[in-house]
Amino acid sequence: GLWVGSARIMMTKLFLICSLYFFCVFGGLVNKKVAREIDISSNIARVTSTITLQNDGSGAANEFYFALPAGNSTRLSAAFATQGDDDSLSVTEDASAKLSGAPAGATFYKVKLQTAIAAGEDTEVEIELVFTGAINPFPRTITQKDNQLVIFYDNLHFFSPYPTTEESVSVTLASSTVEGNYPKEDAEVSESTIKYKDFENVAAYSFELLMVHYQNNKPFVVAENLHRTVQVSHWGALQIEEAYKLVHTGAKLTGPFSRLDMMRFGAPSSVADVSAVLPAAASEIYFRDVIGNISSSEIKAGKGSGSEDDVDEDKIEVKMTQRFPLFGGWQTEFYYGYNLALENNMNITDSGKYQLTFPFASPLKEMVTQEMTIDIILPEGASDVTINVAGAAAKFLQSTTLSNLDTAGRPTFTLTASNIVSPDNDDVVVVEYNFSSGSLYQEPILLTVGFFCIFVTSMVVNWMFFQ
Amino acid sequence: LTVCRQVMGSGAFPQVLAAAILGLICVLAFSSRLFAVVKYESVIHEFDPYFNFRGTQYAVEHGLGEFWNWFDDTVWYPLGRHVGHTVYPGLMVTASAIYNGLHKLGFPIEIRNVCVFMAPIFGANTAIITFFMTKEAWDTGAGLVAAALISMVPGYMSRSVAGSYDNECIAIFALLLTFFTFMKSVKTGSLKWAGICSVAYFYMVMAWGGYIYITNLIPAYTYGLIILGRYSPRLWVAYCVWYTLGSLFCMQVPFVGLSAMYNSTHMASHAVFFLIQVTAIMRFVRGILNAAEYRRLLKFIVLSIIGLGAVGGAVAFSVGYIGGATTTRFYTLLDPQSDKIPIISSVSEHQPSSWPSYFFDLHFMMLLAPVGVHFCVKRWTDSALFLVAYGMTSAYFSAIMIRLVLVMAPAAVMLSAIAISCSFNTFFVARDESLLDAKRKPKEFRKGEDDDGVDYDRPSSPTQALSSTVNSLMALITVFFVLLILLTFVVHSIWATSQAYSNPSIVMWAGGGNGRQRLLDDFREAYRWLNQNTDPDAKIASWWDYGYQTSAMAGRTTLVDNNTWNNTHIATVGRVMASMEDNAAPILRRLDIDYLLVVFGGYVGYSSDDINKFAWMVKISSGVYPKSVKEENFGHFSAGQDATPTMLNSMMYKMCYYRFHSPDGRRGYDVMRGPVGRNKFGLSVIEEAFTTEHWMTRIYKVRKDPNRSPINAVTYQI
Repeated sequence: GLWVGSARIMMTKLFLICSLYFFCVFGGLVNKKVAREIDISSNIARVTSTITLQNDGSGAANEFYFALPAGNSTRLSAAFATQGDDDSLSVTEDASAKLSGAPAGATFYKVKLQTAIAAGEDTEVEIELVFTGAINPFPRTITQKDNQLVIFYDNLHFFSPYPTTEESVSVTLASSTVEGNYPKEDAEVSESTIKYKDFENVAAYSFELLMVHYQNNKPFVVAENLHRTVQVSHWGALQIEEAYKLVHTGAKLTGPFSRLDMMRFGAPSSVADVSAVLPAAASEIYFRDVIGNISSSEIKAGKGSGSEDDVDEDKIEVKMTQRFPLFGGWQTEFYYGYNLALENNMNITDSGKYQLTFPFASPLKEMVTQEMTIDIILPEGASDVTINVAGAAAKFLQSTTLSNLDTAGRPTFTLTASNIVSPDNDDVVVVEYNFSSGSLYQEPILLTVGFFCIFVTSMVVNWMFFQ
Repeated sequence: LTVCRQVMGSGAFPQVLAAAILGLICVLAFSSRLFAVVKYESVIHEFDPYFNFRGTQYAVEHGLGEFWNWFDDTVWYPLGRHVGHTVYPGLMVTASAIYNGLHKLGFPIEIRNVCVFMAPIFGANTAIITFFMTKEAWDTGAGLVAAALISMVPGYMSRSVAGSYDNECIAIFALLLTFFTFMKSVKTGSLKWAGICSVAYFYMVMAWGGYIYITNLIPAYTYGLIILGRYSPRLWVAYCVWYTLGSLFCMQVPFVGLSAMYNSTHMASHAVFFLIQVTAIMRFVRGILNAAEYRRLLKFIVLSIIGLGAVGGAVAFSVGYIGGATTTRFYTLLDPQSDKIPIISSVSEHQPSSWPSYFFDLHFMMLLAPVGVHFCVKRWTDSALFLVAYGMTSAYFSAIMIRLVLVMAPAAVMLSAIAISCSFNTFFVARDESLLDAKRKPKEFRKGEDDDGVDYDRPSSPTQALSSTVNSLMALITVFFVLLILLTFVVHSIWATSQAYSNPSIVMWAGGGNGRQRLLDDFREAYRWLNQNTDPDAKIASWWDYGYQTSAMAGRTTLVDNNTWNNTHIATVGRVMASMEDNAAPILRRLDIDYLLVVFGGYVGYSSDDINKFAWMVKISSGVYPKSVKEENFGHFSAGQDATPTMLNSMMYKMCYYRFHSPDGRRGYDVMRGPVGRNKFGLSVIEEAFTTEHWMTRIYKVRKDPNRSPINAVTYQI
């Protein structure tokens, strides 16, 4: 095919450039051993690289870089790095990194090590990268009873500014049906995995095309739009409502729909439901859209966010069957909400401020959120508000929301974000504010006074006109 | 509670107690209307309420000024509808007033909830106004009984459960308010009450087309009083103020406008206005003239009125000053034998009432209302006579159309309450008195301003006291049985409300084979699918029943809807359904139809589906297109083995039964109609776009016009 040809030319060019700088050593670091595991068993691509990083330089190294080829960084949703056993490291995009020999358009990420590598020593680092939109349907349209075939491209090698001594690559697929893969040679396809023969002495910035064309009927729905509203009531509840616009981004349905065929053969690529994993304390759960209740939801207790075996007693799973199954190109809009007990999410800081904590990403399982807005509605009278997301101060728009019996309105803070993958994104939002408990009684007092006035007025009127 | 209330009905008691009981009745009236919300959800019901809801949303979003000018181009495609001028806006105005009021007070309630709870709120209001009206005609005790009864009478409940957001839910309140204020103004002759009556009438005109009933009942009642020799200056004030102000107010409603002057349905009010002036003058003249002269004058005037009236009426009618299209429905109401228009009689609630439905809706009031009439006639006051007039006329109209049982229900309730109150008064008195010292002064039972028509036996001597022990026993038994009847009424009403009248009919429970219940939510599934996955400009054709719902829930352009103003357009859609695919194709393309929607109950056994309505579609379209659609070709509209070829080839049949066979390809089996007539067939003009989970709604997409063939392309080249 044409695409293989053009990719090959590109690859060759890149390879030439790379070989040119092969002997330049950057900071003296070497990837002694890299094991890449590419998981494309859903619509999200997760690439985990376990690297044994050796310091061949003279001084100690307390940071290192990895890179993404041109165009890949926009698809990156999250990046995690750990050193040794569970020492999570910070990963930051470094646009200013000037590394010699870098190919044009490459994006660099700097990883700060927890424990520096002394000269001549090595350490084991694991990097997990989560990509969205990297797996695309091909063919782009299918009929109702067809299986969905998708295509995935990546770099066969670990894209690094440092040379790699030994490298292994394996790809986990959604099914054992593989239409085609490239490179064909040295690949061993078994069940639903593809394993490549180990590579040795790979130059820095090596790029070689990896392509897999395989069957993937996993749900290809993404949340094109998510609007979360988090409302705090100091009477004891944290009310969360989430309005979604779900779109099936898989192969578009062509030809007629048939209910009969759906009952007979099923519809492999269609998606009937999405599930949310909520804390077990969630109460008053509802699932609706603008025309009313969607009466097909189911709550299972004790299910975790991971696999079926991963049972977590602190969680419940809310399975929300949509009004109609989603086929490629179809969309649906709905909202659901629940209450959480405030005591589980609220602390009082040493300085006497209230501190509210809640997860940043959507609680839907395996969901890509393309655009997200969070409205945080604090009680009337809250002041000195600071909002942190993932440890950093967040930018927000400030407004007010009028609710029952409000006079000045509730302070409302709107955050926006894009391209978030849940459950991978485990950031939390921390909101701190001052609130006097006297404001809590403002509304009951208002009501009491209101009724008192009505009664007094009616008494006066009675005396004046009917005595 | 009810028992308590009945006991209270027996005498004078403090105002506060009455108010407290009335308050409790209001709570009862409100809460017993919430079955639908508890069983299902806070959702708008059925068909018409969806239009009202959509209209209210528009009014709230754009303001009432914009609402008057609202030309809706997404309905009746391609004609459109000037909604602001073809609607009784009372309901929308009320809802948006409540909505805006609550928002001003700092309660940002959703408009949907205002609409859903409108009917229960007005159910409580109706209970209050029923109390005052019965109190006016009879006494406080009867008033409380009436309020308790109206709070749960199924006949009224049927149109006022939560979610049933329809004109009737406020109209009954407005109707009773008008009647009450009119009674009050006849009794007092005060301008204040007459003025309030006109405003109440204005509200009623805004609320419901049934205002015509008031427009005719008040003149009829006034005329009756004059004939009965009960003319009084009070009546003159009441009628003249109502007539002048009321007619002026009437004309302020765009949908009524000038027809309040020339429409034949309003003629009675004009005539009685004239008559009451003549009567007033004659009264005056009688004081001046002697008897013989007066009689001569009377004879002359009566004759000339008849003569002039006949000539004038004939001329006006022939010239076309009187009359108008809207009167057809009115004539069907007056004459049950008249030929009905298919589009009106195709609606089940326009059928004549049967005895069981009366019993279901009114229960024992069917028996007690005549007793109430008896007591009212015996009392012979203006107010009591008004109740009689209201009861008799509404009973007649309710016999012609089932939905008018609604209008009769309050009358039946008030008359029955009077009957119950009277019998309680009689028998409780008999019982009380026998226990009391015979010498004690009997209590004052009634404030009665007029002669008390009820006579009950009172033991006044020792000999009678003996017989009163028998009386006392009899009284006890009677009271017991009346209470028993009331108890069965309560049980029946609550059962009828919860089982029959609290279904949104947009979502329904169905019994599964294994005893489990499942929710059939197919309509919303289909509407939501249309809303989410079709072009926003798509035109959806379906039978008119689903028009309002499609507009409101799918938000797409429809061709016909429940506002059946254009019979031809409806017949055209009916013709599409009744035609063969090839014949339907040009119509589909000419009307830009993108999707066709049918409701099919053959999979789950839903009986009010399109196959069962098909006979009406054919009937209506054959009225307009007699050459294309012939009713006799459809046989008995059977879809089974004995179906005619025309039936089997009709679009309706094909859309309902397309690919409706068992998974292994055997003949399809319709749960309601047995094996289907034709099993495997293809579609050429349309294709299946979506079918809901239980097959209840099937949506077809009209295929794009095929490309022009090469031969044609050549011929068009110059």
